[in-house]
Amino acid sequence: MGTLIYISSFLLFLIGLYCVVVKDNLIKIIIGIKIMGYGVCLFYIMISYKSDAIAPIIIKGVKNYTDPLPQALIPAIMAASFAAMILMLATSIRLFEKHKTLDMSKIKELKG
Amino acid sequence: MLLLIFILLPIVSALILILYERINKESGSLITFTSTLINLSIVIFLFFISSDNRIVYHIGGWPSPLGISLVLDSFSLLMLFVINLISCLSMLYSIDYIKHYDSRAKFFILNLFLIAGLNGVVLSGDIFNLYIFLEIIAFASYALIAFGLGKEDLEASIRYQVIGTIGSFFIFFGIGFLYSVTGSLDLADISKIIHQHSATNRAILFAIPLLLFGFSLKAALVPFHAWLPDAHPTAPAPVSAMLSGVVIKVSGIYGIVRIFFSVTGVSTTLLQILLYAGLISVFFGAFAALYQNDFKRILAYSSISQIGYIMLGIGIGTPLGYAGALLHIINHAAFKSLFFMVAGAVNYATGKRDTRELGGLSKKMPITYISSISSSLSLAGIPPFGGFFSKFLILLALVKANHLTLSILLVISFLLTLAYFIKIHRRVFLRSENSELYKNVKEVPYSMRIAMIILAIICLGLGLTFPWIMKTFINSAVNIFTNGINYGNIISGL
Repeated sequence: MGTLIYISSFLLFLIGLYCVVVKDNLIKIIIGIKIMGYGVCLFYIMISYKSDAIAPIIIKGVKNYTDPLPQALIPAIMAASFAAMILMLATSIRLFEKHKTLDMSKIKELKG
Repeated sequence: MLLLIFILLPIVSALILILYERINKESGSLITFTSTLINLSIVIFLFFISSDNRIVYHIGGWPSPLGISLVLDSFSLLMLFVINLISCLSMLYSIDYIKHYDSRAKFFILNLFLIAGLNGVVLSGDIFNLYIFLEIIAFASYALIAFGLGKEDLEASIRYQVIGTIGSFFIFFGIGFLYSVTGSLDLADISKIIHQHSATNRAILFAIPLLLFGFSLKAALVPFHAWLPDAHPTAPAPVSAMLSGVVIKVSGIYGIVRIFFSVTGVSTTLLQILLYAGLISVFFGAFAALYQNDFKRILAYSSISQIGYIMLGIGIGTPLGYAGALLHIINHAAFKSLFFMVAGAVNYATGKRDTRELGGLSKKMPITYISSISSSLSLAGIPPFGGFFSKFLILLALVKANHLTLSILLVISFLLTLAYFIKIHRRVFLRSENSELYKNVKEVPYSMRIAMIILAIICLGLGLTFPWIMKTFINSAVNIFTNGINYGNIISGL
């Protein structure tokens, strides 16, 4: 059970990566990136888990606490991935104004 | 305390500029240039005051594993010098260059955040802050690439955004694995814990490929290079100079060296991967550059090739190879930034970037022409320019490490480099058939000229002062590579 949750968070990450690589529509690519981000966030939540531990508040007689640090890192990464999403959506609005499409296979001004 | 200025000064001046932008949308060149100049003078000051080039600053006075610390060692100092030199000169260049763009204040605000992020990455002693500063660099460069708002700019930017965000997530996943094993985010502390308790832990063996994938995406090593030839040419010229000269080195190579050499420790397999990925990059970049016609696109492919040389030098795994790679970091920053500035100057004066349509500019734009010669001689590795010594050191290290086939291939790649720079020169500056089309072409404004001349002198000076540079800067930075895993013990004692 313990390893299953790690595998599932990595699976979520890979589903997002598959979506980014395979889809042509820009909005679907951005959704894929968000799914990748959620996979990583889930992984960070899981590494702070310990069995038979309580929330990190000091109580007399209890020695086993969960790790509070990864949860504190999650807001930072959420803000960063939120900013990434906003920038991508803003760019795709501008691209739609120029090309009248969001299909990346049709937007080919550059040779790569 | 001095270290905090590198990060805070650009951010504070950006915040001032955000407020002042409401009054005047076209301001900001002076405050940006001044703050980069102050940063540059502090770096030069740091070279003289610190005897062993090692400073640790604990933010808020908290001791190291608990609090956040800024760490300066000789490799960071070298990178800090490159960052602040190139950013200062490219801001000087953009005072006049950016005049034909609208809302210039936004350009300078984004550039200040870019500089703050670059300084933050090389100074951060904390793996999570390193990641946050990487994101700041990435966002600022995404926005700067799309700054022209043309069709090409937006497309290049969105491609870079998608690929760059994937790279960032891979790095972040790798950091999660490192944290889950060591329970610490401080680089020195992680390094100590890994080598005392869990050197062959399987989670760390899984984290290394994730981090390598993320950082190679940022450095544009060959299987992951697809974003670079779009993103670097479409940006405004001073931004291209920053991106090619500094950003790929800081967010790619610095990350690889700091995480793998100092924290997790390198294995022979990793060095082999870097060596062969570097060699493939060298050849791919050089061949692709030969087939391009766009001036800035040739330079972008050439950047892939030159990053390959640096990776190859690191991948050899001997002190001589490291020295060559470090020297090539400085040289490449100088000549590639200068070359992008030259391309920007040609574009500024004629409005064209396609080398087939240009010609005969050597008499119309003498200063641009002279700086172009200086940078391309350094790029091609002609003595006594700086590029010769770094490429020669890498070649020497390959021969000494008994990689004879590779060294022959490397010599062939030098010739390819020579070929594409001759192509640029013949088409843009020397051929005179199109010269009547450009009767009204004038030399570019003063700030652009001064920036190009200074960099041209630096390209030559790096070669002429080669023994002194080796003795004062490179040798102490090579110690960071060779000390490797002792990083934790050295830093946490301070």
